[in-house]
Amino acid sequence: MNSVRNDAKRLLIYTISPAVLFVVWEICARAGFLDVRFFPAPSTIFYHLFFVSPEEGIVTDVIFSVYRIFAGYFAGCALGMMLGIGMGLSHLLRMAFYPLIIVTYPIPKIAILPLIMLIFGIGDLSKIVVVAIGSFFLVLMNTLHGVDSLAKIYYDVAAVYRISRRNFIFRIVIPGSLPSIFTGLKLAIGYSLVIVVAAEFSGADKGIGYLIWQSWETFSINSMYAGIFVIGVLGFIFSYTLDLLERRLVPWKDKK
Amino acid sequence: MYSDAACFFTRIENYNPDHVACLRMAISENFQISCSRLSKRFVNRGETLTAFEDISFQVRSGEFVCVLGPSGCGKTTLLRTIAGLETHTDGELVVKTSRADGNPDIGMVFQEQALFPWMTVYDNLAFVLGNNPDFLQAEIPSIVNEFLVKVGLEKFARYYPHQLSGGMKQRVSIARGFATRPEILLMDEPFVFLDFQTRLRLHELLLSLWQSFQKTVVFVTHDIEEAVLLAGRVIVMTARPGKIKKTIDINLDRPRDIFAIRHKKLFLGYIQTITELLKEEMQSLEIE
Ligand SMILES: Nc1ncnc2c1ncn2[C@@H]1O[C@H](COP(=O)(O)OP(=O)(O)OP(=O)(O)O)[C@@H](O)[C@H]1O
Ligand SMILES: [Mg+2]
Repeated sequence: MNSVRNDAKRLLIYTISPAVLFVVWEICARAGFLDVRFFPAPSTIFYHLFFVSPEEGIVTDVIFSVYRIFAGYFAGCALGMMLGIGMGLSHLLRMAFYPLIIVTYPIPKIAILPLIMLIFGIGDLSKIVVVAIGSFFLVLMNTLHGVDSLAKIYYDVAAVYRISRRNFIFRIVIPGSLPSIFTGLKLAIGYSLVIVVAAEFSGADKGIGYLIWQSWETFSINSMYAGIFVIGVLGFIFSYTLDLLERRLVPWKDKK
Repeated sequence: MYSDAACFFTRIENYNPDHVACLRMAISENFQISCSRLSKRFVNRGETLTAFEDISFQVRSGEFVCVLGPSGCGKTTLLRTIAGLETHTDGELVVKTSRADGNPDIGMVFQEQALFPWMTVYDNLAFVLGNNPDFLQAEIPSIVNEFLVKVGLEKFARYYPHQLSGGMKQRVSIARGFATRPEILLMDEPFVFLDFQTRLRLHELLLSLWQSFQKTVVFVTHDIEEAVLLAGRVIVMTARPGKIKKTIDINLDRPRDIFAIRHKKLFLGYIQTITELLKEEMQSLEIE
């Protein structure tokens, strides 16, 4: 009960700084300090977003982008977590995969998009795959770091009490690495948004990225801002949900 | 790593006759732990470091032994070797067990914080019990509760370790050590970071638990008073490389009153004797 109230309070506090920004922006736009051709007032953008964009099909765009993000994100995170834990626990797996990973990790995922589109076509699948690849690396690296930095004493306790392999993995290694895994999950969700929008700029006929690109081509500034605003809101919802999940699943870490 | 009486004779051929004699005794005399000329060397980047060498002693079943020695003399390493966490370099170690699978039942209280921070106090105990095939799932809650009551923490079952004080955490560690009813309890300076009053309370608690469960305890410390207060026998080690300097039987009555005992002549005598031994140790270091 108490934690629900805290969550609501936190959500309220989180809206303060964006609200202040919008108010200042609105005032500047109306007072003529900003060129409204490039920086339309927030009230204009919101009006457009709620009354014009739905007519133009923004809801479909959002659904498509979110679907691509979720499919790619969950697949990439699941694989990243599994391989990260596997590599953390098995020397053989680490030796086999680590060289491959440190070579492929720094390649910008957008750089391989054309290749992915050649292989998986220009439909949803290529976007999902590129999001999955991006999430995979971030979660893998952070999971591996989490397993590696697990205190040695826990291995000793496990050895003294002859903890079974299964219990060792599920009750010691995974919970112990969870703070680090969450760092990966949070980085990956933000990165997934970036990737999906970039991927939709070219070779898509739906999606938020497509909407923004289309607005650029037709010089429809308000639609462009509507798209950008929706991305911001999605980013907020995703991060907030992950924060919430982290506080529930890692209650033993003191949080700010 | 471990050997019970049955397989021990098959392994002994390779060892020198000294070991054989010592170990034959171990078998006949019902020693729970026997070390014979045990040594441990670490190799770090080509450099050899001897943690301890030529350690021979026996611990009877139900005995409370303290190992006392200066910092760095290999006490932790010795305890870890007995626990099977470290392999020895030389000599022979026999840890007897009544278990069918030949794996001795060991409980350990570590020098550092070794509770799982992601488990509540309750789960920290329930986890090691649940993993042990000797316990039925159904009896675990009552066992956990029994031990939490014994250490006075039944109200804190749902707390996480980071919500407890240092002394409370160490009480949980002790409860975990006793909860699986191990044959042997190994304790590595469990009270070293606690204040004096908390230590007194935990000494009392430990003695009463030991009194009621009669476990074989090997307790490592560098506190002379603590050693004399708790132990039936104190093994004094030299500075590194740690050898056994002297073994002193502590003939103080049990159960011990940890307050009254401090005024006893005998108690003070033991402390003096051991202080002298350690002083010698320090002087010999200065000559080097
Ligand atoms: N894993 C290891 N690798 C290399 N050297 C080690 C290792 N563990 C311990 N040592 C060395 O062995 C020696 C004994 O260490 P140990 O921890 O057993 O001492 P101790 O008697 O427990 O000291 P303290 O009272 O400070 O806890 C030390 O010099 C230490 O550097
Ligand atoms: Mg030590």
